[in-house]
Amino acid sequence: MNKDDLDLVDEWRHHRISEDNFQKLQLRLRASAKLRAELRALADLEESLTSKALQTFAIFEEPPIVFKPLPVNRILTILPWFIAAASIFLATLAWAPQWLPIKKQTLPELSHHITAILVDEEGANFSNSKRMGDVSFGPGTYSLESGSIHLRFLNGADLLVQGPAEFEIKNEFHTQLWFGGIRAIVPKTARGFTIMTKDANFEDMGTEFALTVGLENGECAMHVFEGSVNVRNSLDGKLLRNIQEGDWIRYNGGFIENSERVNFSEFPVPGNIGYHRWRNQDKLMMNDPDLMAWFPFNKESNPSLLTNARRDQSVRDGRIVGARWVSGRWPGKQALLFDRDNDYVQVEIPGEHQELSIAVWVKIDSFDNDMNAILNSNGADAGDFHFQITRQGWPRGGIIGVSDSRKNKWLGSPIPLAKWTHLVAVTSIPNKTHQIYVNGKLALEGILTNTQAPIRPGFCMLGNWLPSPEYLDDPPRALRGRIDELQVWKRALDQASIERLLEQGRPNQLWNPQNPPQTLNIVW
Amino acid sequence: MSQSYSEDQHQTFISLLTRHEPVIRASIRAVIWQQEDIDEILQRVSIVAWQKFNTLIERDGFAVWACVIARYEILKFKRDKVRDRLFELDPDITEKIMIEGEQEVSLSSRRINQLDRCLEHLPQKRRELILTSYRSGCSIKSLAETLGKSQDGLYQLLKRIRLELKLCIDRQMNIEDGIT
Repeated sequence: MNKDDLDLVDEWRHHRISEDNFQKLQLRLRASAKLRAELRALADLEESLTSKALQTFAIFEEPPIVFKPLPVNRILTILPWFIAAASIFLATLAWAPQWLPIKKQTLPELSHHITAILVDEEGANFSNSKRMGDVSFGPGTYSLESGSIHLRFLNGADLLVQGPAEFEIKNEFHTQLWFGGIRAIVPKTARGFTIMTKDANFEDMGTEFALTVGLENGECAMHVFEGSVNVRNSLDGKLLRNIQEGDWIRYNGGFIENSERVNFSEFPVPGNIGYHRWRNQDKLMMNDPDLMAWFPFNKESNPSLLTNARRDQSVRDGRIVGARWVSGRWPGKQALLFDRDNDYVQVEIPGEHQELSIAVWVKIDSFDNDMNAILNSNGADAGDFHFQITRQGWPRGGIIGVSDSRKNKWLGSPIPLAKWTHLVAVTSIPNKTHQIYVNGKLALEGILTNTQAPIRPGFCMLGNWLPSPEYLDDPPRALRGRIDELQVWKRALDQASIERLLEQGRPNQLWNPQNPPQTLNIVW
Repeated sequence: MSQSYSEDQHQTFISLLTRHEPVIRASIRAVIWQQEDIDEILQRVSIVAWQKFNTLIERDGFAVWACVIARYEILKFKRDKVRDRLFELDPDITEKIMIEGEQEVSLSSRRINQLDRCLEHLPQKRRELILTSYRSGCSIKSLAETLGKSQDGLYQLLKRIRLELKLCIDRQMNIEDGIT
């Protein structure tokens, strides 16, 4: 059997085949009985795997299903299928291999299964063995001493936990909250998602509620923001009450109290954990005398101003021309969209410097031009600074009269489209180096050829370069995309500092700093 | 129709359908690649099989008989629903694959039953990965994002695991047949 034929079959089965290859596969399938047999063997394997996956992930505890009464004739129609389903379920139970646990709460062999993933965190500190940086959460008990986390279960439910809290993930649909506060946002796929407490279980019937459990007395307070929640007795599952949108409940010692409303307004919501983490950036950084400018891209009362949060520094606020305010890395975070030829922000980086680092968070929509400007001095004279991206996505730039771009070495992968990306350009005249980092990794390395000229960026444009008359023949360099943060440092940031900036600003914990590898053969 | 069947016939039908459902489903899966289409066709096959159950003489031939029904239902489904959809096999190829498959029902059943043993031979991480990739609603894209891998890298890895399992199943069958 030809390996290429088998590859074609596998590609087709997994929706990765091109139209040409699909036609080729059809020809081969017409001609070869052996290939047709291979296709059937693969289908058998996939049927077994699908069935096994269904047992593995769904056998332990089904989400509660709400039955509606059916007319008698409808019951008669579906009865055979119901019996069939029950038979399959019982057969499945009997067939389940030893490594599949059946009882809830004792899931030793499944302890490595991923039940939820960490979407984001802010200052999260676990007292038990949970390692920070490990985004997978399986069944088990977690003690969050401080901070907030955002978990996404594989069924799509979002769970925000605010420390201090202790919770036990039992499976995709059931989590025990021993104490602390949570907010659950539950899509249709996770209907029935239940937070269990000592006395009561809170079963989400869609779509959002928050709950606190007291450490001392186990008192529960729950507020339904949207949809409804069933409150059930934790011992016998009896429905105690259905709480509707906008309503709240307190439950203590087996009694429901409709007393004081709980204030959940300060409780984190998805997206703002990352935003909060970013806003609380290291105080040391804000007091760092070498940070000349930090533009956090907050829209002010004058929407044409781009404010420098370092008010004590000499870099003045930027002036926005054309670029429009849009959303940034998190809900509530603003960015500027550059999508027209004349969009830019005018900023000034005054003075002469021996070292300079420029850091930006950018999301590129397309590389329309040969050069796509990040930040460029208005001119192109000795000491001017240019930082841009080529049409192929490679970062490029340096100091005019100091760097020789022909001696640059490109490393790593190009800048991706439609993904928030951290770019840092670092120039040091004493070290004779010019480097550009993409998502914390060195992507361009250059050697300075002239160490006599200082760095003198002066007036610059962010997101564009509209050259003076002597360069009018140069093609446009307008950026197509968003920028939501700019920092200017008068020292050469080292790799560790760049990685720290990246960690503070990463969109969330699932954001992957790796970029797709270069596949084009580019001639420079 | 169904009203004329006795309770015993009900029980027998359900028992046969339950026993042979994996093979019938696998025969559909060989030519249909979308899970929701597979489910819909299987449902149609079950209904037709129930309606025609009194025409089945040999109960031992239930699986083959149901696979023949599946063949016709698939051709009808393709004609009605997915005629112009990309990457659907042409009807003549579909028919060939299905007719040949009807001669191999017992082979298919044996293959399906070998998976458990072969999964045990896989390292735990690989076993969990391949099962996760086949769970309902899981896409290569979402799984790759979750694991921080490239889609292509993950696809190649899953393909290797599938090959490993397939070779293991072939080996187990050969052992059973006394070939090795």
